[in-house]
Amino acid sequence: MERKSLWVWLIVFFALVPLFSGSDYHLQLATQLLIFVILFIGVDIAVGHAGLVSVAHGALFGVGAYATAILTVDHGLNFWLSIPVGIALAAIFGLLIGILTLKLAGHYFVIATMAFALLIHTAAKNLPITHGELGITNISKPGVLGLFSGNQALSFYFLMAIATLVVVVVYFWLMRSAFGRRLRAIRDNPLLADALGIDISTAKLLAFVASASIAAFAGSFHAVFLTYINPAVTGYELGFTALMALIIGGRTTLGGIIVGAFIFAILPEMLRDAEQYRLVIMGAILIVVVQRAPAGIYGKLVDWAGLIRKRRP
Amino acid sequence: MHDFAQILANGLMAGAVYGLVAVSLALVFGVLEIPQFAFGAHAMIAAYALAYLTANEFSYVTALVLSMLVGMGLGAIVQYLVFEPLRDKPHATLFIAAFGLLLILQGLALLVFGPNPMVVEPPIAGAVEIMGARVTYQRLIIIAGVFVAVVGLNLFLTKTRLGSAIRAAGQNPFGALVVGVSPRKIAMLTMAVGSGLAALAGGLLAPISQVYPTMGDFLVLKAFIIVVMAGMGSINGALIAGLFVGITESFGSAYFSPHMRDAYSIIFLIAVLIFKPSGVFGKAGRVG
Repeated sequence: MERKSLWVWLIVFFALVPLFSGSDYHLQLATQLLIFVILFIGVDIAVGHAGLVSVAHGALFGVGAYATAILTVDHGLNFWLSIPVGIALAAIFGLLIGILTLKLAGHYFVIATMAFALLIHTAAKNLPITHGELGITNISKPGVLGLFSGNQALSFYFLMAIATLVVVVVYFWLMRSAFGRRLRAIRDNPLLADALGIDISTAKLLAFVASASIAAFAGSFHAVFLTYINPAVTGYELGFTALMALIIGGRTTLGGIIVGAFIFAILPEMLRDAEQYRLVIMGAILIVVVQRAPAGIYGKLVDWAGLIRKRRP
Repeated sequence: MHDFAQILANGLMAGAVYGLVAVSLALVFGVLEIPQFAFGAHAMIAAYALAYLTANEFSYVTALVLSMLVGMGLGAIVQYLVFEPLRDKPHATLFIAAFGLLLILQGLALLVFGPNPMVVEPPIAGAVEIMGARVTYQRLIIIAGVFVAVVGLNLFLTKTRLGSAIRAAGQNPFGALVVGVSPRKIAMLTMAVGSGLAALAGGLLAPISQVYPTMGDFLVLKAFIIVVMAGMGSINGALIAGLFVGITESFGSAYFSPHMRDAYSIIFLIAVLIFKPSGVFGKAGRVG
């Protein structure tokens, strides 16, 4: 997947972010970026490694967010205990969606996942347990932050950085294992994979469930980060955003995931002054990148870096 | 009983619009394998064109025809600029490109016309009573327009040389190439025809909805669900499934809950996926 030095660079970079910008606003942007990184890692397991182009993960992210919000606010459960519940719920949803849709080919799979996302969104808007359109307010931050006096935004940022690191480690471990290799074999040549004796449907289903779980994990943190959620958190836009970020950034690479998260977490904020042009600019970026850089921006950067390296004497 | 007729009439009207957008998607999807997510935005652009023209003393019918031509031109242009360079690229990139196109079109509409909705007066005001249901003339125009368009599309695809070429390219692109059908030209033609149908949906909807940048979003989501429900390559199936979804939503909203409106079609989709994953009207061929 990628060079080891990238790891060191990334850890140093994210550890130094607070030094570059002390303001809470910038820290919150960086925190949002990390939440997106976790979500996109989850989606990448399905989209990048298993070739399952899903837009349902926005809704599964919402399942995690709602699980945490409902359990901590309405039932007084500890934040950390709500996470496994969210993951389990999303895994069950992922399993059901997977069983129903994985036999569909190509575009039909994408559209079917979109339909399920819409179903979850409709449920979130209407069920009494989710408080309907009003959403859930006053979601408190995890208690562990109380141990650190001082800047809460900074503590939450570091908590998020640790959570992201854990997910990244799990992601690399899983995708470099025999399971990850099997997924990529199925993605690249299903007939050959079948002939080699790989159980295709089980592997795909497991990949879908694993990616759903990670998306829900990100969602739990999103709920406590915003302290307020409403049905928009399950909207199909987020599922599309995740898919776009991966394709634009670059699939199956951590660098690509981070580039994608930058584009969708930071760029809209940078384009705030050009609000009326934002849609056109984002749309143009999407089209130009898929036409000119099919491996994503990160893939293009790696290509260019390779060219520069070769030219050196 | 009056309620029943009214609910049925409402459902038929909504279903006809869903069906028309689904037909346009099914055509482009079946022949070109492009998930044209931006067709809702094409419908929106056509609705703006219609609103602009009717505000400038054009009659509704003239404006409707002109806005369809705008839609067809838009279709040909986006095929040439956006989708042609992505021929043979993975599925996901086509989705992203279509979504990018959607954002650009909505952004342009916002820049040119601003966020305030535009209103189009119905060409014939008033309503008739049919079996106790009060149906505005615009709704009758919508239903008639959709059926004329779909019958026209069927005649075009089966009776003309160009239509045959489109079907041939859909069934076997390589074979079509061998007998001298240019895949590029056919792709532009197909996208133009599909976009023209989406534009017609926008133009028909404009007098009963308002015209605003995101007016096509819900249409295209529904239409995609309908296309999957109807199954691969079935254009007339898409219309029937569209009518079915419209009527289901209308009755579901009346007798169960109007808030769960969006869920009814998906519940039927799940049933279809369980019992007949190839779709209700799905068959081996792609278009025909």
